Amino acid sequence: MRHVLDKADRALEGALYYGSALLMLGMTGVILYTVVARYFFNSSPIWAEEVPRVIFLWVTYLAVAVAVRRGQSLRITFLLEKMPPVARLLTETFMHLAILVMLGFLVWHNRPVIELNSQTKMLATQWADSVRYWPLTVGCVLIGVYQLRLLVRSIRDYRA
Amino acid sequence: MMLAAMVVVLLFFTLLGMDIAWSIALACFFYIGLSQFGDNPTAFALFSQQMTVGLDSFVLVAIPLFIFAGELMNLCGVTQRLVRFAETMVGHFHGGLANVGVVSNFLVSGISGSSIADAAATGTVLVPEMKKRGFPEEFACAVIACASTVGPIVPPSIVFLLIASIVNLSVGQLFLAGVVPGIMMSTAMFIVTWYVCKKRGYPREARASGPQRVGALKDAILALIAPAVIVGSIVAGIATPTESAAIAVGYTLFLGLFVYRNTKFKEILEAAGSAAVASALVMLTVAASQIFAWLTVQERLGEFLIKSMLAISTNVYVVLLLINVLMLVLGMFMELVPIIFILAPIIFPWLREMGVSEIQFAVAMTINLMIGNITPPIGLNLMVLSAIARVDVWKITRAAYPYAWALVAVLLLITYIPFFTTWLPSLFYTVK
Repeated sequence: MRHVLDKADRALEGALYYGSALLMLGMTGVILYTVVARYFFNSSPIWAEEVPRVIFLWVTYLAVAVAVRRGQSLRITFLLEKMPPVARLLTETFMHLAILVMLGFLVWHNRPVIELNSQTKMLATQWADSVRYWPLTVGCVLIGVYQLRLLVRSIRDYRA
Repeated sequence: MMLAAMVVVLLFFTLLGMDIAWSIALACFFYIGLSQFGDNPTAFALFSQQMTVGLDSFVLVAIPLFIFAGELMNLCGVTQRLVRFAETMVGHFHGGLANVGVVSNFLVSGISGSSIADAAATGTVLVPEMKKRGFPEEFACAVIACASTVGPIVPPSIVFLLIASIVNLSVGQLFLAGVVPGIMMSTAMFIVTWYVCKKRGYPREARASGPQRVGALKDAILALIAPAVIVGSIVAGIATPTESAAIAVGYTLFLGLFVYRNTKFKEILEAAGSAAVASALVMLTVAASQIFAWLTVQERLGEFLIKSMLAISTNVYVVLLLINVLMLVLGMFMELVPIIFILAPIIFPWLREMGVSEIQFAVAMTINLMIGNITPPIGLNLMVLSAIARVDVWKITRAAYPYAWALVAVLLLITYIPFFTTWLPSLFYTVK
């Protein structure tokens, strides 16, 4: 069972990481195409700003999940490192739970925002406006899963 | 009262070791939760909405692209070429590799735009070499940590992009305004290194021969012209800042694929992934900071700050000094993104009324916050170097003191003499 879970975990991380990478390349490509189209074909596509903005939102929230999974963060740990193991476990548990509660609120209160924006369309692409609000929900769910994983790991490390 | 509680929560979680972006978001969440018990509750839906709306801007798209260009620069060997070029030019001066670090960071910052990325890129190459040559490791780390503060001053700059998007300034003007102060900062740090190393007898490199210098220049020339391509495309009106960031990526890719021929698709994909993750952390901080700033506006922090400063003095020079002191203190305890989002909308309009150039103050603000990156407890550049070399942050901090003072001197010059920041942009634009 654990073997299967580990495999699924690695597959999800790979999908998110390389998915973000491809979106990043796509975003660069779209913007470069816009510049080329403007100067060489004399016509800039009308979706030149909308598409990169949407990709950017998806890249951000998918890649944040990867950062959480890999423990990449901007944080200062000198206090945490000086704590005895039990205090450290309790502190880390408290912080993971606080983030989980906040993520829950974010997802819950993003529902009406998505619902409202699914009824309107973006000007150039005619995509539903909700496509810009989904990344937050998807990102928060993934981050939540990885926060839980970090929590379980902290407990396991403490026991070991 | 609620504002104070929000700041306490922010500092509490930050010092406890939580990621800075999550600390800011949780502080906002705490404030909104607390507001539910008051007369004027803030809707949680606004919190959710702002986490998207705060990032939904075409100018902000430039940030991941400049980070991507920085990743590609390391991948294609551009960093190594620039370091080698700097070594042949200044390695023989007192300070040797330490001064190579100062000059390399100036050159590298012409492509990447982030001090943390520059610190990591040049630190990984130079700190081990400096240790081998006999430099104390804390000094080696301090030089690179401080030298990389020039990253967001020399164009392109992620911090300038943020300020421009908040207070509606011209990115082209800001990029040009950073050139002279960038040179001043690097010169000041070069002098400090020269003096300290001469006094302590630290080693220097053998003088490079003429052909060696020409060879290094030839090798680095295409990397050296990259900043001109990036800034030139904006100033000439050929591209928007975001498009120029994509051009920077395209240019670096061109170097790697067709000129140096050392880059494979799989590696480019990895670099894109790394850039996505690195920029996502920055963008999460940006989104959370915008909400934080919005809540501080609700609490009328701006009015309070302005009244407090005017109570001390109405003289513009004293006010500028007070603002600098405030930002230096905040920079010690907070990451620069939330400080920019909180203070910029308050201070810029106020200083505009007092006749201070916004372009000038934007550069001064950035230098000020960069000094915050080399002062503990939250000095991100120090932390990056500490992680690379496994040296205690406090030891690096002590070694960084002379550089911090040199940067404060430059900050004062930039704050009080508009010429340094407005001269270059005024050749191309009407400067506000």
